[in-house]
Amino acid sequence: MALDAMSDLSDDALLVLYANGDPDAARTLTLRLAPRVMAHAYRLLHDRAEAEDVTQDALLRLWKIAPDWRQGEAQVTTWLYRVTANLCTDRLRKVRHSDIDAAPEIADGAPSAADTMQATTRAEALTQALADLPDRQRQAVVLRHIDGLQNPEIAQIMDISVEAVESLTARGKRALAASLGSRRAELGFYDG
Amino acid sequence: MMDKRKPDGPLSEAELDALFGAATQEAQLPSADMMARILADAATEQSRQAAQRAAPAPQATPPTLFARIHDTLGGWAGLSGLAGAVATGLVIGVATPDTLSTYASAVLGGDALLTDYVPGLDGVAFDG
Repeated sequence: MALDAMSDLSDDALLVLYANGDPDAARTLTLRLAPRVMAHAYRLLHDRAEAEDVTQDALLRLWKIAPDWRQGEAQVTTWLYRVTANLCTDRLRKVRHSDIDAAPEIADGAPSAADTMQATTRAEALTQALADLPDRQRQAVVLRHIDGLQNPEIAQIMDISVEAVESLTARGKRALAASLGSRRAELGFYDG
Repeated sequence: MMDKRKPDGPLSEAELDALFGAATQEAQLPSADMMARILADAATEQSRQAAQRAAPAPQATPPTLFARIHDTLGGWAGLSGLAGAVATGLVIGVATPDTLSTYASAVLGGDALLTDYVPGLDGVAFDG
């Protein structure tokens, strides 16, 4: 099937095509899903190389499960976010045991005048603050407020209730607001 | 958005949203190398799955005659029952009436006559 025609197909329809041997289905799925998985993994891990490894691993698991995929039972993205989060959690546990100080530091006094620099500074500060949250809070906050998913889908990904998602995101946001409050000026929110 | 009253206090909801927005825009995108590795994985896995589908199912070794009889009769219990029946039939078939009576007396009791159990034998002429 032509790539153009595939762009209209759902993820699980593409996965079935892949399982049936269509050579272009994997390309469409990869272009569609890899950036989301990569971005999500990076937000959870704060390490580009590790996030790339997780992305490759998560998609390999998707290729392997393709023949057994039951169309309409679950969303591919939901399954993929769950696998990605589990892979990230495993890696974070290993990192914590080996070298907790290896996380890159944000340079003090980073310039905030230029918009691009400010956006970068803000994103890095947030990523670093997210790294200090408990795993489940971080996952819920990232899925809700950065990846932009709705609470019911997050509940499916995390295998918890919608109420539990709301609780996790609320506590996560409070913790982020508190920890980043002292960096308000650096983040361009306070000029006094 | 500025909060001059509490410069070190928690960020406001709007300030936090601005950080989330920045993080969304700063998303780390996969490199071309990584995309190539993912596609190579996909092709390898697809070939493996195709080969698996194409391969004929492994032929089971045909069961031996003994195994078929064993299964048909329901295992060792059935086999031993059959063996007993064959042996008894053989004895009945080859033995002279005297021997058979002795055998019957031994099996059924001292005073038992074979004709008590096999009445038809009265009228049978034995050649010896």
